[in-house]
Amino acid sequence: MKYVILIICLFGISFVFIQGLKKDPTIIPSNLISRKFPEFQLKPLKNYDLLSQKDLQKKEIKIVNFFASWCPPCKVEHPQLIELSKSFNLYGIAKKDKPQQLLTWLEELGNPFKKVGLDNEGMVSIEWGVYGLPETFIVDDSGVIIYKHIGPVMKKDVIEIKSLIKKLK
Amino acid sequence: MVAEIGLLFLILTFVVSSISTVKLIIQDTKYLSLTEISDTKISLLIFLFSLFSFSCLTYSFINSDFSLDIISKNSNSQLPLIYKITGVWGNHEGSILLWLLVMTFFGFLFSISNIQNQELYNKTLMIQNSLIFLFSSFIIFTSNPFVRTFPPSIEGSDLNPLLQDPGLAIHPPMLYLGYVGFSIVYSISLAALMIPKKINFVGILKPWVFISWVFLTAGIGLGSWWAYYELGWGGFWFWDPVENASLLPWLTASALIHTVIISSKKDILINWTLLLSIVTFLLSLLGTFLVRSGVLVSVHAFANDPTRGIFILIMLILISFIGLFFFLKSSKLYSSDYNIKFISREGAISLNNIFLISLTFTILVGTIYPLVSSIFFSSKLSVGAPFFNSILTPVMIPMTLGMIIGPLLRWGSDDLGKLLVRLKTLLILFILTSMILWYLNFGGPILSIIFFIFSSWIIISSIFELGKFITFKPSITINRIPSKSISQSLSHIGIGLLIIGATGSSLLKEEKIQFQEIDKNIQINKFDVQFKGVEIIEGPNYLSQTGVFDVFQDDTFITRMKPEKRFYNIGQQVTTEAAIYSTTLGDLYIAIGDKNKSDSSVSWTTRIWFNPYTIWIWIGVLFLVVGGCISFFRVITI
Repeated sequence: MKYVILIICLFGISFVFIQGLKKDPTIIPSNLISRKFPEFQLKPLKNYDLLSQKDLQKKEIKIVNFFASWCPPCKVEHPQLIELSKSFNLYGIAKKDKPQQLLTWLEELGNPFKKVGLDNEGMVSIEWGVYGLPETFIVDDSGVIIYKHIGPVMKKDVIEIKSLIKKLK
Repeated sequence: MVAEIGLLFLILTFVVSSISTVKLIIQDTKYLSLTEISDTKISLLIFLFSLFSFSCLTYSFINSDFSLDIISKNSNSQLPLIYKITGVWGNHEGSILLWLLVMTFFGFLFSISNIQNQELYNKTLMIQNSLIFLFSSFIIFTSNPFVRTFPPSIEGSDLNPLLQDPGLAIHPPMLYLGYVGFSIVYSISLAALMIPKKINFVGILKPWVFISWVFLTAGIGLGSWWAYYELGWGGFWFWDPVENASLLPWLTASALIHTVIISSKKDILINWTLLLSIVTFLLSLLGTFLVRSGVLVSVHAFANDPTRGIFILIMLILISFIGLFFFLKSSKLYSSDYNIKFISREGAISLNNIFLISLTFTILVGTIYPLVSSIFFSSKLSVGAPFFNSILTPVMIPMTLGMIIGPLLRWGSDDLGKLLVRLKTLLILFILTSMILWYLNFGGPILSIIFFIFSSWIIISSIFELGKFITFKPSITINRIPSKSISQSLSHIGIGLLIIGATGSSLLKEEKIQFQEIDKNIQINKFDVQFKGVEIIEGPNYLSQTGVFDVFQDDTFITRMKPEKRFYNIGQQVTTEAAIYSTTLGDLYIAIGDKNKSDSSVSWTTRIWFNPYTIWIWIGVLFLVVGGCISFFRVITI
């Protein structure tokens, strides 16, 4: 009997650890997934259309990207954003950025965004649960956040995002 | 070429240790010609092979052979020599090779020690060598340090700057000596359980328990000291999963140290000693599993590699199963009908064991719980310092009381009333110190006063214990104090000091974080800290922003403190080097942050702490280590 208990205990422990090994502990799930996007208001950037809540309520699938000109990984993901912008509507929210630097950044690297807004105080980022730049959200046609990507969007992520959006359609 | 030789020696370790494993599995040796090869020889051979293998890796590190994958990732030609050497264990593969080396070293030490019982001696070596077999296969199949990369890198990407520190250079080897030392404790216990008749093994077990405990204590102490001055967070213990993982075997080992004493003295609680021996090694392995597999988020986590995780898990389950199976099967041999009286030395030690084990269990649950909850309830949560601190308090209070009364009780049975009469001087001392401490800390947190009083009682009663050996009539003579009493008193004083330090630096800590302008003063405790500005200094492989602070007390200049922020690899990695001014009453601790850009005047983020009595933590650890060493030398000399 006692041997049976020992075996059951060891099996239980292995089960928990094996399950644990399959998960990546660094992934922190977002509470916003499958919820409507949080309300926000942004400041305009000269010469660019201002992103407002109405844009995210449109009946289409949208990609929202949090970035800043001071963030080196954002530069890394920029070519991928340009590629995504060929097939989808991208909206950019610049966190705690200086307008002048932002203008130069978009001129130099190209503008993937349909509309842009400034989050000077970083309050919108907090509402959206952004804890590091860059972060990318996919918002579906009813305004619900369905996907969140933390860190730069790399080439393999572009494929993932594209296939995800295809499935939705 | 050197790397290939290193790999060859590693494979030889694997092959030769497998002989012992085969012998262990096929007990009936008449079918085997392997009996010709003695286990003593095998132990010597695999120790030498692992030593050669480890030397080859060290040699490659010193010569910056960047064609080896781990060297290109964890070293750099600009590194000072000492960090090139410590870089060997500053990565997963190398550190597991060090683990193997220590394991074979302990096996070798056991093989040359004088053991009367031949059967126990042979079985222990066979088990130890089989453990080595398991670990060497783990290295060869999942963590080979001698893998080459192609094309070879021209320059390495540097050792993690946090690890470029003398404290951390010796912390891992110390900790490993402790963790792995318990492998031989496990082997001896398992060997005793495998032998179908009752034998006397506790005396053989004892020195290994003491020496492993000493190394584990020193290893944890060094790690904590490093975290205190290098991380710049102002604390010494953060309840990180990996810190907990090292604390768990330490707690069971501390329980073991106490039971092993009763077991050898009175021939009781032997099965409990056996269980603790097995469990301590299992917890060491569990710690390794948690660190190496990346199942928990931790500051120590290496790259998440599920294959390694699975392999260690299989080893862990296998070693647990064998150990616990034989324990269940044969522990009856060692059970006794002896009835332990509650008020007696044995009673106090049993109580200490119960508290230490419940503490182990709670910390284990707290550490693993985030994993369990993410699997079964899909909820992410972290169990942090508040939980651990809150469970520590109720367990620590009765345990310290036990530490005070326990050593004063007689073996067999005692009477509390008689004890009080016997110790009236001590009681008066207790009351006096309590009143003084109460008065001095009046208005402070109540918990801190309780802990100060209790720890002072531990220290006083331990000194009182030693005082028994001094006779005043007719003249003052110091009788020969048995080393057993010295080691016990020193270790208990160590715990008392540790509690004082931990209480001071956690409950009474003062903290000020601000933008500090140049020439502005910050008042903290009795100190006046004046910020003089920031210098840029170039180090051997880093650039340092060094803050300069002048410290005054009552308008007299005390010292100049220079906390640093170091930028390694052209600013890719930043480390904080706190400046610490230690006094017996507390540490002044300064860390410098970033320059304030939004303000027009020049100011910097400065974090200034006053951590009362922190130095006593390290002194306490030193007492524990010295106490443990005295016990060790006592048991090996008799």
